[in-house]
Amino acid sequence: MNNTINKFITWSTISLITLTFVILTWLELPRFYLCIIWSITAIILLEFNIVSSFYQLRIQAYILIALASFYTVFLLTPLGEQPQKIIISSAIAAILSSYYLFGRYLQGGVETEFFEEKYVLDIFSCLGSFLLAFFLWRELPRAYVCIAWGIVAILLSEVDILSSYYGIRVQGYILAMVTNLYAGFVIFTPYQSRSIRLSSAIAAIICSYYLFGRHLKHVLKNFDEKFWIDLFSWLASFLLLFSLWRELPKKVTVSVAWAIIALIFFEICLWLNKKTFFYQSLVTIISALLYLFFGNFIQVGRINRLVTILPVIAIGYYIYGRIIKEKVSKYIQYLPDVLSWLLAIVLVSWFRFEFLIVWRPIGWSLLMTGLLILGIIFSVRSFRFQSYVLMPIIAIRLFANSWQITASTFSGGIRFTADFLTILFFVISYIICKFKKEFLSQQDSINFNNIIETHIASVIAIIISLIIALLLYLETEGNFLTAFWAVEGFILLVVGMLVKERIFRWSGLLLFIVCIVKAFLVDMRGLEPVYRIVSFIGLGLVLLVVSYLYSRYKDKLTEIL
Amino acid sequence: MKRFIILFTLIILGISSIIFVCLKDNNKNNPNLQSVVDLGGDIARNFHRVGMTLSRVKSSEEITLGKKLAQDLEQRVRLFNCPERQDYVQKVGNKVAEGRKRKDISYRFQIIDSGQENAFALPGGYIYITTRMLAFLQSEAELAFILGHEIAHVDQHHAIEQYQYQMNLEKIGLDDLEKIITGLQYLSALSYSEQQEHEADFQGIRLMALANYKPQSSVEIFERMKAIEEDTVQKAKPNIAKDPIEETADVLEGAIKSYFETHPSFERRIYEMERYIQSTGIKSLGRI
Repeated sequence: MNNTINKFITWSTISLITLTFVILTWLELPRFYLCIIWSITAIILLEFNIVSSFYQLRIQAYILIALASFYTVFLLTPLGEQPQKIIISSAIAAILSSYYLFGRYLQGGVETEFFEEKYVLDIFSCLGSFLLAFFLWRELPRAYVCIAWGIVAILLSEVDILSSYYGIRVQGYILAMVTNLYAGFVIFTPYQSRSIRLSSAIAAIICSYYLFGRHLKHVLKNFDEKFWIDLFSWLASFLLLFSLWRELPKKVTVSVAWAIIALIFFEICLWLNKKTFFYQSLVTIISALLYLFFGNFIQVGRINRLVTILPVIAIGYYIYGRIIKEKVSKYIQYLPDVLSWLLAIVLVSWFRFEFLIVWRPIGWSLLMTGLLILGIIFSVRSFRFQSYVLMPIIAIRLFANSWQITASTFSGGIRFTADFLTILFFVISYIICKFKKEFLSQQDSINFNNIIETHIASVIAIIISLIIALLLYLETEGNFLTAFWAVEGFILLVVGMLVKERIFRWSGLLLFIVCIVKAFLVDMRGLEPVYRIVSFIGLGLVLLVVSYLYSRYKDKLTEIL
Repeated sequence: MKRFIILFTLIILGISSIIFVCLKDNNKNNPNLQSVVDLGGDIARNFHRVGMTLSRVKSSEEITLGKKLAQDLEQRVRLFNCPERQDYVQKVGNKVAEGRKRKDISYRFQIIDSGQENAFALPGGYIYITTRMLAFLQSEAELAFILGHEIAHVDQHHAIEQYQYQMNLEKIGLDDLEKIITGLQYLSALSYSEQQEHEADFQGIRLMALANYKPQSSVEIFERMKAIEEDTVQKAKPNIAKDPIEETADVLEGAIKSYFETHPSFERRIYEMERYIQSTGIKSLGRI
């Protein structure tokens, strides 16, 4: 009972003394000294506590520092309305006292046997950091805010590494996050000057990468560090990309800059063996390729188009090649394929805008053959399939667009050269697929891809037969067409027998049948009735001879066809 | 070592290209998705054209339709009554039409008394040009291009393509010709896709060059039109995106707008036409 009364009297007396002290200093002291005096008193009380183990004194110290901090916060807000020197003195006093308290605790000077003071100390260190950040934002010119915050975040991180006290590390993370968000805000705000944008972005990027780098070296295990360090590297990367987008004077160069960054990320990924940089590299190069569609293809001038698209494609293929060579794709299966297909799409689009309509099919068929060869040499299935996809697209495009327009807009010589080269590339592709089958997919397992690769030579044979027939149809008229088709049919038949390609032989025979039907039903319509009758009798005789020969040499023909 | 050389080369190549473009590029165009619109248009046009090519109507049918359309049109507009001018336009038109592909179609050129600068083609070879357009043109070569452009719309089946499906339906008794004619939109509504306009520009240039006119005159028409447009239309200040999201929204809006535009911008046409003239060596053909 006496003990309780004694405690009550002690608490009451000390609280009364503190309250009197606070009121007296509030009323009598100039505002400049107020927080300084409260902070010094708090530190003295804390030191007395350490010497005397009289814990009530420590509680009073907490109260005084809290008061100094809250008063400083009040001063920093627009409600404070005090001269700058008062704000500065109060802020410095409150920040130093908060950190002093925290420092003494870390040193082990403060005994904490009565209640869980660890949280109280966390609160004081947070308060100190918050006050510091708030003070820096309030007092510094905007160009220096992120620099200052970045330095504080790094310092907090260093203190954490020295003391292994993770509470302060969290403050460092939060401050670094705020720095990044603020830099992002500055970058996207239209009225900020370039110096502010640049200094903020650079500071935030350096701070984030520093934290990432430090934590790579000092693996800390208090909570999910991996998430944080990945987050910081992503934040820094996004800021870097957005800063480039914002600051580069010509938007057509953004893709090139992003591609260079993607390349650097990829090298870092290989160097550090960090998955996060692999993702960042892929996302960045895919973004760079997609951004090309925002204005790099049209109305930029031929040279500018060339010098902005080529490096992006080169870097894209370099990264893709390295992914395959270094087997980095173990991280994720489909993203490298997305990159490879996107590169092909960009190439096709580039040819579309680079070449005149008559030359485009040559470019595409060259790409088709090139991809096929590369796909076979390096055993890259996606290259081969890009080539297969291009084949029907080129054929449809030739028939539906190129031939229709070029017939009336280009001279015969140009058209012949273009068509000849296009068909030549198809023939080369056919030869490769026909005679290099062993380099295509494994034939032992049956799946959709293998079925395609098994029959691709036949598909190309159909396309070649078809495009030649259609080209003849569009370029010649009347009886000449029948004659040309007959010649094509004959050539296809002979070639089909030579290279043992059933599709060519069938195409040749089909063309012969079409020629006969056309000759007798269409071309002979203009003849005199007598000649027409004679012609039909002739046709009947020819068909009889053919059917006789077929029935006689059926086995041999079946073997050949 | 080899790896570092490649890496270094790629980075240097990239940085050099950025510096080069930043120093040399005078293009002030905002980012846009015109390339995507063009590619999408290409794909749509390819499929459309397959159907069109496989369902072509005979030239005689096209001429019949064109004749009916022309009769109907000429009842609604005022033809310019000046035989001398009429003969002149017909003469130039005939000269230009010499290089056409569809020899079974002969062309008739008429002048319409109108305050609009316009020229258009009906299926079957009926070409109309307004008095205002004639006044705008500064040389015979320019007239040759305009007529060549309209001839190209007929020669490349653009004019008939709008009615082709309906005519094929009519053939199998699902519709009748009268319905088609009454449902037709006249000159103001006659619209071609952007790609068809480019195609007609190219053939127009080729036809005029074959008729011995200087191809460069075609570009001069659009340069004058562009200058007038810039003088008369107070262009709004280009909106500069504040962030990539706004930029994406801007370019999407631009892409949607441009997709529904039937005529390409003058700037684009000039660019494409100059490219065509330079790349085909057609420049040396013209003398007049």
